[in-house]
Amino acid sequence: MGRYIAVRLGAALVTLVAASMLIFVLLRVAPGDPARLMYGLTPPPDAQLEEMRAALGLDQPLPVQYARYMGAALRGDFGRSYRSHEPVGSMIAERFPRTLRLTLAALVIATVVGVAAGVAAGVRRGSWLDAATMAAAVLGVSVPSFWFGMVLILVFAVGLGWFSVAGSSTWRDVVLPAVTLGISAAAVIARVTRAAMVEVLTQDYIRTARVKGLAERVVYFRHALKNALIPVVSIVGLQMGYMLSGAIVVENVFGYAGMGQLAVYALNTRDYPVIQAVVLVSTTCFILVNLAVDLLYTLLDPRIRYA
Amino acid sequence: MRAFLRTRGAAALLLVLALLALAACGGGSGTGGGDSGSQDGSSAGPAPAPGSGEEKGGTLVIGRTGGVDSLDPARTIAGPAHEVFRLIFDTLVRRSPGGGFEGDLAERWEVSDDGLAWTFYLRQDRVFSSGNPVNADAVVFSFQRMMSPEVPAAAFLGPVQAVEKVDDHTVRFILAEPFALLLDILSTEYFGIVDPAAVEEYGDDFGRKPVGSGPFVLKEWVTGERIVLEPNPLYRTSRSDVENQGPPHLDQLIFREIPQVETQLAGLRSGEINMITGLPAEQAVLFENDPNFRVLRGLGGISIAYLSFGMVPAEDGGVNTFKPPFDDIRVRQAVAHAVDMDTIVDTVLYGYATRNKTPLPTGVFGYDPSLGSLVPDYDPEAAARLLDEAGWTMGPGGVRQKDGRPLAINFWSLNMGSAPQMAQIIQNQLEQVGFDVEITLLDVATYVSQAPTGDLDLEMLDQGWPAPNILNSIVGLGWGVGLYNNPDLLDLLARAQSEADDARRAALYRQAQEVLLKDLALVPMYTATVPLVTRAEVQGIKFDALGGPLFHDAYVAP
Repeated sequence: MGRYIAVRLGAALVTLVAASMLIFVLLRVAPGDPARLMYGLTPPPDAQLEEMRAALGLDQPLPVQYARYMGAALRGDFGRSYRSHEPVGSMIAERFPRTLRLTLAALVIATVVGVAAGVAAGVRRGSWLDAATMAAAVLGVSVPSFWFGMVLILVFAVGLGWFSVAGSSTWRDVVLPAVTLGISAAAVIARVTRAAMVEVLTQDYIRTARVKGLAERVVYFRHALKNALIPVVSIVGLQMGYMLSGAIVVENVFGYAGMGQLAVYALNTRDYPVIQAVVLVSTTCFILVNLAVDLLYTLLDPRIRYA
Repeated sequence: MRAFLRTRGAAALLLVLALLALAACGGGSGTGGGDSGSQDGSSAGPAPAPGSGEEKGGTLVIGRTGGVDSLDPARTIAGPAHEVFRLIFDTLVRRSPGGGFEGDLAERWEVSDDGLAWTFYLRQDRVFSSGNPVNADAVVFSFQRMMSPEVPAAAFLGPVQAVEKVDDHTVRFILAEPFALLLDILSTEYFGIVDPAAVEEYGDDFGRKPVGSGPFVLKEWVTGERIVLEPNPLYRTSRSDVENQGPPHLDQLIFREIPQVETQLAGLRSGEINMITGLPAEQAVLFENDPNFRVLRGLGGISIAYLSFGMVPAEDGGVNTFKPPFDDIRVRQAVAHAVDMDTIVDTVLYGYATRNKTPLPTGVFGYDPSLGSLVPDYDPEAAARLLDEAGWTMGPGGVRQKDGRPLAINFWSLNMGSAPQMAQIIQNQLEQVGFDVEITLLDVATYVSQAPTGDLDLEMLDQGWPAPNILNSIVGLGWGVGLYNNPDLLDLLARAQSEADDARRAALYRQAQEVLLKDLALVPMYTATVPLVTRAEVQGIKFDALGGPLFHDAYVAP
C-alpha cells in the first residue's frame, strides 16, 4: 500500500512537470505579449517596451525562462504577477480556499441529490418516478450553467431575496453557485447510481438476502447500495475534476472571486506567472482527487488490493 | 533614459483602450487647451463645508465588469484601476468645468517665456490621508517614480525631462521642448501625487495600500470581489464643480467586481448594488423610463470610433501606402458612402453616442464639426458608382471583381461591447455595394499582437484620450491608419503640441485633421457617452469636466 502510494505520487510529479512545461510553452506560443499589453492599444516606444520585457524576464530564451521559473517554484516561489506585482503564491492562497469551498459544496449537493435520485429511480425501475428522475437528469446535464445560474439568481436572489446575487464571502454567496456547479454532476451521479443499483439488484446475494426475509429497506441500503457505490465513487472523483474547470464559468456568472475568475483575468492580460500557478494547483488537485478515489476503492471493495 | 521619449515626442503617448478608459472617465466635455502664462488657481468656495450632512450618508455599491490589477498609478493604466485610484489621489491641476484648468494641489503655476520651464506653487494646507504634508518633496518623488521606464504611463509625460524642488512648496518641470499639452497630462490621475512615506514603507505593496490626498481612502480590498473605500477625514478641496468641499458624505463607496453584465443587472434590481458603470447601450436604455432607476450621462466625449484601412510599410522607410484594394481613394470613399453611420448610432448605440465625422473626439480641444463635410455621406449609389469607376465591376454572387480578383476584404474588430453587432451591420452594408467581407473578432490581447502582421484590410477601433494628441496615438498604432506617416501630418502634429497659443494650436490641429480626411485615411464614426445607471435612492452624483463621476456630494437616501 505504502509503496503503491509512493509510486502514484512519483507518477504525479512527472505529470506535474509535464503540465508545467506544456502550459509554459502554450502560453508563449499563444498570441499576445504581456509586456505589450500593459500599454493598451497604442504601442510604447520600442526602447520602453524592451525595458519592460527585460523587467519581466521575457527577453531571455525560453529554456532559460523555464529553468528560472522551475528553480524558483521548487523553492516555493511562484514569482510575482506581471500586473499586480503581488506574490503569486499569496494570490493563490487567497483564491484557492474559496474555490475549494465552492467545489466541495457543489460536490456535497451533487452527491446527496445524485445518489438519492439514483437509488430512488433504480429501486423503482420502470415507474413514473424512474422516468421523471431520468428525464430530470438529462435536463441536468444538458442545461448550460451560465443560463441555469442566471435563472437561479433571478428566482432566489432577485425574486425571493434569499441569497446574494454575487460575491464570495458568506454562505449566502456560496449556495447558488454551488447548486449551479453541482447540477450536472448530480445528473451524472444519478444516472450512474441508478444503473449500478439496477445491476446489483439482479445479483444472487440480493435474492438470498430477500429470501432470508430481510426488510426491503435493509436490502437496498445495507446490501445493494454498498456495492452499487463502487462505480459511483469513481464518477464522483471524476466529477470533482470537471468541477474545477466548470468553476471558471460559474465563478464568472456569480462574480465569485475564486481561481476560475482569476484564471480568466490572468488569461486576458497574459499574466503568465498567475496562469501557470493556477494550472499547477488545479492539476495537483486533480491528481490528488484521483489518488484518493483509488484508495477509497480498497475500503469499499475488499477484493481490490494495491501492491 | 529620456532620449527615447524625446525622439518619439508625444507620438509616444500611450492610449488606453477607449472602452476601458470610458468605463473610467465616462464621456467628457470640451476643454480649452492649457492656459499658458501665470494663472490663479481656483479659489471657489470657503474651506470645508460644515457638517458632512447629518442625515446624508449611506453605502454606494458600484457594480462593474473589470478587475483591478493595482491601485498604484505607476503600475497600471488599465481603466478599471483608474476608475478607483482617481478617487484616492489628487493631481497638481484639474480641468475646470468651463474649459481650461484650475489648481488642485497646486494653487497656481507659470510658464517661462521659452516654454521650457513650468513652475507650480503648491497649496500649503494639503495633507495625505496619513497626515503627512503634500509638499514639493512629495511631488518630486511622485514624478521621479513615474518617469521610470517600467512605468506604463511614463511616455505620457512627453518631453518632460526633470521635476525639481524649488522650495518646500514650489516645484519646477524642465522640458526638452515646449509642450502645450502639459496641463492636460498632469490633470489625469495617472499623475496623482503619492505619499512618499507610504511608498517607502510598503514598497511593492503600495498598489494594495495606496495613500494619497484624494476624497477617499482604501479601507478593504478583497481581490476579485470588492474594493471598499471610505471618506478621507482630512480631505479638503477647492473644486468648483462640487458643493461639499470637505470629506464626502458617503459612509462607504464599494466597487464590486462582477464579470457578467446580466449578473450586474440582477444585482441592481435586487438592490445588492445601486449603481453600474460601463453598461452597454442596449442594456442602459431599458432603464430610461423606469422611475426606480436613473440613467446618468457624462457631458461630452473623449473617444473616437473609426474605420481605418490596412497599410503597407514602405520598404525604404519612406511614406507608407494603402494596401489594395484601398490603395485607390475611390474604394476608400466607397466604404464611407456605403455605411450608414447615423443608423448605427441610433439603433446599436441607442443614442449613447454623438455622430462624429472628424478624427478628434467631440469633447477634446481642436474638435471642429465643420471638418465633417470632408467625409462622404451615406449614399450607396455613389459607392457603387465609385467602385465602377475604379474598375471593380459587379460579378457573380453580387461580389465585384477586377482583373479576375474578387473585392474580398478582411474586416477586423475587437470582440467587446457592441462592436460585434456593429461589425455585422457594416459587413452587410458593404456587401450590398459589392464587397465580400469576412469579419475577424478578437480579444484585445490577440488583436494587438496579430494586427501588425495580420491580414487586415479594414478595421473598426475606438480610442479614448482627453487631449488632442490622441491623433498622435491614432497614427502611432503600428497597423492600419497607425502606419499613416504622411510627413505633412507628422509635422503639423509636432508643431501643434509645442504651440502655446490656443488659436494657432487649434488651426494646426485643424490642418492635421484635414490631411487625414482629404486622404480619407480613416472614416470617423462616433464619440460614445458611457451611461451610468443608478437606483433612484442614489443622489448627488456630479460629473467632472471629462464626464467622470464625482462622489463629493453623493449620498444614498434611506
